[in-house]
Amino acid sequence: MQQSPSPLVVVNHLYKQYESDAGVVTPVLKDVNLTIHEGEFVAIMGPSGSGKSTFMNVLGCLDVQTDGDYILSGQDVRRLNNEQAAELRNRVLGFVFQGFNLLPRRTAVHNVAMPLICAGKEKVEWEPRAIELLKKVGLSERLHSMPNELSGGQQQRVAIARAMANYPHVVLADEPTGNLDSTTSNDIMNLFRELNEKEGITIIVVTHEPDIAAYAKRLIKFRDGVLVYDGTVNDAGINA
Amino acid sequence: MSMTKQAILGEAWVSLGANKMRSFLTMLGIIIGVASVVLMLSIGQGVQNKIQDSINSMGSNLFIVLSGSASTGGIRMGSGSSPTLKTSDAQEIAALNGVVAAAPALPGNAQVVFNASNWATQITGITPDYLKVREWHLLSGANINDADVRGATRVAVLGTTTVENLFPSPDEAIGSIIRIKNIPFEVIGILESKGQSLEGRDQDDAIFIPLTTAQRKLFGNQFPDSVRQIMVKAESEKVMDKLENDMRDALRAAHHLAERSEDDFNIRNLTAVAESAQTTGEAMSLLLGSIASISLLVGGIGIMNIMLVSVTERTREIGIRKAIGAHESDILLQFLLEAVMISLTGGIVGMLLGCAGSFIATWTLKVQTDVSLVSIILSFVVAAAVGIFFGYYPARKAARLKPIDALRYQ
Repeated sequence: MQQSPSPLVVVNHLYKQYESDAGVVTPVLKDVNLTIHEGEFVAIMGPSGSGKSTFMNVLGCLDVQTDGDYILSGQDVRRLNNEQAAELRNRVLGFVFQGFNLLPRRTAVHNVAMPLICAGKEKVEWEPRAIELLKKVGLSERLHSMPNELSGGQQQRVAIARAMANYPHVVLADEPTGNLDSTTSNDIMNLFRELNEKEGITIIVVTHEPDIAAYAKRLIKFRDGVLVYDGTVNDAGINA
Repeated sequence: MSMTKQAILGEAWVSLGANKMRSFLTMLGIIIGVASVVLMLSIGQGVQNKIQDSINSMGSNLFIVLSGSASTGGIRMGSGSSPTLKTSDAQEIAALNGVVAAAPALPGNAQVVFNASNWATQITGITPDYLKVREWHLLSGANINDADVRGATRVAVLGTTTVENLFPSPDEAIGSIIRIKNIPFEVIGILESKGQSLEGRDQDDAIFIPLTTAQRKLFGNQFPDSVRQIMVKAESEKVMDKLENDMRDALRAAHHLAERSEDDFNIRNLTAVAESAQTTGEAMSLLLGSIASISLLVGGIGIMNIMLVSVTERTREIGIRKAIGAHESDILLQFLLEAVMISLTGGIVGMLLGCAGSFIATWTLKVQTDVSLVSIILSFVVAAAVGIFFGYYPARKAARLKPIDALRYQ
């Protein structure tokens, strides 16, 4: 594993709490400290309600922390305005969701190209890139299929190709295999591993299944909003 | 770094296409609104045109000075019944500032005969200025000239209705001899058709002869130089109020009227009469237009309603696109574009339907209509404005959704 010295993600004393309309404050993340370097493959585990998904949303600039610092690729995320945050999501981050979240009524190529289209690229630029990525994830036969014509595994492959489209530094995957059977899950995880090892892309996966987490190299565990474990997967006693 | 124009347009197109029926029904509100605005305005414009035509046929910036009323033994006879106006009064008025021309006239009714046909019509003794003042041009032949007036010649210029009623074919008219009160007149000219006056009288049912001829040979009375009316054309609308006073002063002086005595003449401002008719026409247009505008407003609210539903329905999709890095401005623009595309397409279709409707109205209901360029441009601009105005709120709502809330939306 080649580890670049520059930290991609730096989280310092991060807190997140929700306040209900009635004024009841529910702390979700408490004093989280974490540094992730470029090229890492990290799994985040924890039981439901442990705060792992909230943490992922903060990492993905989809949600903002209540307190503490989050530096992504050298930028203090809290200081960004909406447009700058959108740009950061577009250029630095790639998302893979549990529910695939492809755009309906658009072909696989169009879906994969969305981040490039959002970045203002012309069709002559985005189309070859989308086709190249779909070939890489093994969907060269389904370039022009609509999402509802694809199986769950195929949809997730399209989603991964989409996450890769704009050459992101880090791909965030929230329960990417949650809706898939075990064979397909392994295929998807192998794809992530391949992207990490061959292309050096940083991958952060949230999961509650140990055998999915086993594909990663580094493991982070949350319990009740507190980071309780940060070490290698092997030390945690999980085997691939 | 934001999306290209084509990409945003494409997204809007895909979204509209996904709900064809809904897009169409939303559009229908705008179609009906714009079509009714165009139709109503065209009917209103048609009415106004008709009024304007009548005004123009009368001539613009006109006064008519009528001789005063005669009263014998307590019975007052009405305007024009007393021979108080003279040809010289017309010359007095013509000398005033702001007068283009003052044309005396002596009208009367008589039976006209040509061969076996006869016809009762109005015969007016005039000077050459009269037709100029009325802005009435010759269709063929010659006008009455100064020599005719000086010599009291027996020549006549005929209106088209009179020609039709006297002659089997209009070509025969010029050069023919007609008899008015058994006096032979040579027809020297035919006038262009003027159509109906504001009161609905056929202005073409007329014969014009030299003023002097009328005074001495046809409608003569004990006052040889008297005229019934003087048509006065002012230079412009602006001078009319002042001119009315000047004319009154000049005529009173000429008639040697004492300070206290009443005028022995009447001055009527014909333009003012026309203006009130015009105002009625405008009020009608306004009424029709405002009723139609209400349906356009309802159509606009329909757009807002559907766009709000559309935002709610696509909340998740908006969330995905924001997660991928779509800018707020792009999402705003896309939703706005969807609303404008609906309203503008509706506007174009509505405009065509409105034009077709006004055409049908003209044919079947015989209502005069006129689709003006202004109403077409107006309906275009209003349709676009409705789209932007009613599309903005839903579009902003969509653009401002927080990505995390949008993604979590079920």
